[in-house]
Amino acid sequence: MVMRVVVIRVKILETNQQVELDVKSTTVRELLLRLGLTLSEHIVFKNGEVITEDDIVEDNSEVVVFTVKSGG
Amino acid sequence: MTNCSFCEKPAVYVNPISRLAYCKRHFIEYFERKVRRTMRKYNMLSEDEHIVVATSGGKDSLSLLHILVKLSRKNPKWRITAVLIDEGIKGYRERTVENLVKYAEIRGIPYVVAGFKEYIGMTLDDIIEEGRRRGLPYMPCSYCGVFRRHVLNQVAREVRATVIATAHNMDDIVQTYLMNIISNSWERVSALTPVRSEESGGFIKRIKPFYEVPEKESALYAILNNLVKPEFIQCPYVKYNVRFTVRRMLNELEDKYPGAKYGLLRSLQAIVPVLKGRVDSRSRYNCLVCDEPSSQKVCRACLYKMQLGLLEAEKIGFILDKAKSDKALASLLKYYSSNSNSEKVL
Repeated sequence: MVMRVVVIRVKILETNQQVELDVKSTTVRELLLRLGLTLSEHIVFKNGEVITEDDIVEDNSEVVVFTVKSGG
Repeated sequence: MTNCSFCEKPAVYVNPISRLAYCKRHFIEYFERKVRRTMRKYNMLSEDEHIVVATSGGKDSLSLLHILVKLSRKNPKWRITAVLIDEGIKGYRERTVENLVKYAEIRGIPYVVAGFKEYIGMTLDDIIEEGRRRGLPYMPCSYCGVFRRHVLNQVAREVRATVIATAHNMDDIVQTYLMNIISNSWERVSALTPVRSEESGGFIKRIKPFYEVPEKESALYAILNNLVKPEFIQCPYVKYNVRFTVRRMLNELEDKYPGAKYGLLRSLQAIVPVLKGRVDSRSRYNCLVCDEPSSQKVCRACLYKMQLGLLEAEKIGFILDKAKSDKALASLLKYYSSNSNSEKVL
């Protein structure tokens, strides 16, 4: 069995969590769904650029999830 | 990579309803067009205005300030003053104050930072502690909302504003709509309009240019224009807030059924005219203590101040004296004193 060493790293700003997902490639939409995060409350960045929920994130990439809700 | 539906550049946003994709430039155009259209549709501003922009320094209010400043270049008779209400929430508000000050100073926009401490007499942190000590039944957001509105009105009058613009977005509006349905508060539902104005009582017209803008779009506009950094700053009192749960529920609904929030907004717009004249949402009085428009003879802010021991003795004496010959006022004061464990307040 081959051990996979490549993962998608996700940084969630709201909870200050770093999560590693062992998937080869996924859309942003599926990624948020897996993390239990809503599409309408989150903006996702890859390499400092905003990407859309239809974009595909591949192995070995790092994304940042920003929660848009107001402070209070 | 998703491409812009208009120019093939990488997209930053896909509208979940129309499924159109927007690059940075086309998103900014789309957003500004939508806000301009909302302002025109509801007759929000005339040619000659002094606009107070209620700015917290967060994404929505900085987006609003930014777009109004941009539009003011084409409207030479508009004056803009940014007003930030500093409630005094340690470890939270200082950070957003910085955002506003930086923004306003670079562009030479007049701004006022008005603190609860100077206008109400105590910071929100101290008010909450004092309220708990006195056994008052209110949640932090109740004090904050009531006092924030009170101070904003006062400052707007001091700077002689003709209109107050707030950055309430579509999410805020539909959340409030649902919360008021749950609490059966139809007079509050009828007040959820894009423009609020009242002929009498010195009430300053209020407008919500983001009435039809989803929160995600105003956040994205702020980020793309570098108005805020993508970092998460949250009010420490938010966990006591019903809105917290309602928001989550609505966003889950929206993800499953795109357009649900727009649907609720349309539902709100359909019910408001039906409610007109049936529920009393207009303020009929001017507060006996502070003269602000109010639905009761003494406004909520002054009643809270009284309960917190922040109202001067002679003002309490004045309203108690009035209450001797005014049954409605007497029962209002009685209600507010029986709402706390500290009847000594009166």
